[in-house]
Amino acid sequence: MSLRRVGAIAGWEVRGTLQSKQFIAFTLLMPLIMLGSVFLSIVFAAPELRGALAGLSPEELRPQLEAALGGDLEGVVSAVLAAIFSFIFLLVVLFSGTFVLQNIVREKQSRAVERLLAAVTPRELITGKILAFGALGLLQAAVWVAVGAAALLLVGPYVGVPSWPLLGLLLAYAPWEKLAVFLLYFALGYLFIASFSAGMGATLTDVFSGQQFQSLIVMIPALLPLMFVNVLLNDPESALFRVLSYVPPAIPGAMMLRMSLAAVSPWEVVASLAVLAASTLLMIRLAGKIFEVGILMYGKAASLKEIWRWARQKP
Amino acid sequence: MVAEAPLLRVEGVTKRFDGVQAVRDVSFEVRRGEVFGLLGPNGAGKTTLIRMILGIFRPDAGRVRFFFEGEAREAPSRERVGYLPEERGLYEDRRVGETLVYLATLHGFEPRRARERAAYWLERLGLGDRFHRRIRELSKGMQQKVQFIAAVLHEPDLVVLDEPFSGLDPPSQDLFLELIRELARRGMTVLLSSHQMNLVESVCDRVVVMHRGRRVLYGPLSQIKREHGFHVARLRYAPVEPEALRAWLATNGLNAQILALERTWAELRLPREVPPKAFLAALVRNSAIEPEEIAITQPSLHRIFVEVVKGAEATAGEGGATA
Repeated sequence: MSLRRVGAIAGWEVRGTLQSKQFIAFTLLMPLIMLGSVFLSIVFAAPELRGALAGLSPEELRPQLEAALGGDLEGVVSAVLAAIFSFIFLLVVLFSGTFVLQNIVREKQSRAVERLLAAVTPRELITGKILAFGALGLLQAAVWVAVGAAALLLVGPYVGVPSWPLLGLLLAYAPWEKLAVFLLYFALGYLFIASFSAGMGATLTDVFSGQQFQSLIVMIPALLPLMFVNVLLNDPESALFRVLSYVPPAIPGAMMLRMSLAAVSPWEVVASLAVLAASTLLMIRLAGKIFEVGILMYGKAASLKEIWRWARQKP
Repeated sequence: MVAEAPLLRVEGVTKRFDGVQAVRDVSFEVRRGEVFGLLGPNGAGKTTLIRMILGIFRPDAGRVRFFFEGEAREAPSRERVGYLPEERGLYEDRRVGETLVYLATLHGFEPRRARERAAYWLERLGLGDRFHRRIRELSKGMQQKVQFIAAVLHEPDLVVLDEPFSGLDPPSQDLFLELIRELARRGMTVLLSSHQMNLVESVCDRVVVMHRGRRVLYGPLSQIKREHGFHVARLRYAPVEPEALRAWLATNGLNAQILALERTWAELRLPREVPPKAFLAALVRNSAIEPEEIAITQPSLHRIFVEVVKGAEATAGEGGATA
């Protein structure tokens, strides 16, 4: 594997994606829509919270909030921040995985891939693309956080929220160790989904192929924790979430949400990370083989049976 | 330049897909600096063979060896080969220049030089003002020229062109033929794959012809024509009874096959034992025939191919099942 070629491929994809209107619109509009709805709900739907925060001087903010939240200010802030970050990471994993799939299908559909394979190996090609869209995903997450902070600072004064002290509070109580572990879940979860998407993309004939439903095999479990987050809010020891913590595509979501909203023992974190790492390695191997065979099969999308045969064949 | 030194040797290569034998035990060598033709009808296994040469597919049996520095290596050096695939396409929404530079740098070419060479080649092919255009703004023919440039820009030792003429209008076909000759003059080795045998015959030094995954003809074009070749004689003459001509052909041991026979003209297939000179000598000795036009030609490669395949199938039919 030549790092120079992997770097060239990644650079090419990053440049191309940064020029695409779809990506830019998505990156900038997404947080605006989300934050907009949060602000609107504070302004219109939660006047008492607004009343509690409005007109406070910076010195009054902390005691007022502590009183409102029953004392454990740090616990609440860190839980809210952790939940926000798990949500962002999950979205980025899913969207970046989809970008990888679309990119590979388009490259196969346009036939550009055949020319590339005279210059690079299939593994270099996948690696470059996965790195590119992973980096773009992190960039997206950073933009979302930055837009969120900027919006808080800009809009806060108009709705009477002391935004600078609030931001200081968030930074002071941010659960940095948890966020560092989240980054691990994010990286492994992204590698799992992105390599799956790369293999899957190579078996499809066009972006709108009916066969794309096959990618739901992984996407649905990955989304389950988010869909059932209510269960976790009602019961932090939920059996469903304990199980999902060991089902590879669902691990990042299940564990990040659990760690945000409940206490999780360190050995559970280590065990789930180990399962995720092992299954990611396996997925990279399988997807690599499927990609090598599938990428030059034009004409029809492969059936699950064919894909399984490719995955098992010897190199 | 050492014309005889091999650059590439394909040794007993076989490839099978899901029970279909795409390539069966094919061997040949491509020599440094030549234009080598890989010919055969569609479905003969040419593209599969090319993908094995480029290292995109692994052969089930046999091997492909390169001799870039004299010593053999099995891995194709990706820096040293260029490729115009039959299944071709480029990034529609990217620009012509950046795409060419990107592909060249993947082959290890330095970006600044790649930019210079891209500008040179675009100018050379009449696309000088398209460097900053998006690929989708180009016509199909222009895109094919850009793809041709992408195959040669990084100055590879070996350039593989798979069906480069398909989809081109006749003037562009001529341009591509001229470009291929130019590449060879610059010392590049060209592996030219095509099903249009008559079109590429004029540029190839040596050829391998495939049919259903097998090699059916191989060698210098002139030698193939000599060995498999018969001659076709076309005569026009002062009116004469066809029966008289038939009698003359029968008695002179010429053993010619009559393709057409009329009062003023005839077309004869001369077997290999009858060289043109012997036929002419016999013709001169016959005072009854007064020739007005004589044309003795070698058959086209396509014609030889058709005969060889027909012969092989006839033999296979007599011998029963084939292996």
